[in-house]
Amino acid sequence: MPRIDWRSLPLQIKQHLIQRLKDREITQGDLESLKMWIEANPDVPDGPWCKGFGSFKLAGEGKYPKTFLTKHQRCVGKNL
Amino acid sequence: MMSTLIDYLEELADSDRVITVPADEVDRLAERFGDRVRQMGQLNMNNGGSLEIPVSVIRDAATQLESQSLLAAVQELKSERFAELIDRSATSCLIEKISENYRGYFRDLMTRYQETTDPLETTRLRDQLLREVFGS
Repeated sequence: MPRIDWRSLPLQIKQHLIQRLKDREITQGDLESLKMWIEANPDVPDGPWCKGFGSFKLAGEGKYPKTFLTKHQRCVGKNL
Repeated sequence: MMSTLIDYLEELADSDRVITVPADEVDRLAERFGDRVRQMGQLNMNNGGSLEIPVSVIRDAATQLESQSLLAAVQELKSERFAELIDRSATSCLIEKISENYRGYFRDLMTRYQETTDPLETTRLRDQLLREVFGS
């Protein structure tokens, strides 16, 4: 099982997520949950996967996190 | 003598200063005091699991402990022995205080970022949050 390589996630995507906190589109608690999840260094499947954090979702494939989605956007792959 | 005082005051005034605990030291501490050690700061998985702790967080935690407890924690940390009563040891109290203060520090950072209207401060706090969430 691969571990996520956060350095592969483009800076602009990370900045956009933080901007959504400023715009109150995501909550402080959900960003804190993401931080804790990152620090837990979880295993992820080899194929596509999706992880929900309440007000947003993270989609990835194998060790590569791809993008953040809104809670209403459809996310393909295994739900974590 | 004067430069020591100035250096000390500069350290106190520098709210952004962090210390980095190398990954091997984090592992050693976690073996002795449990996984909560890793909650004392920003755990940088890009760097093998090193821990970055804002100096202000440590300072606040230390001032919340009684001086005897702080001295006892320092002695425990210096010795290589496992704490006999981990949950009651002075170091455990210190770790708990630092973790609690770090959570407060992170929440305060998010709030300041949301509330500031200064564009320069917005960028500075955004970059700080990026480091806290995703590591450096």
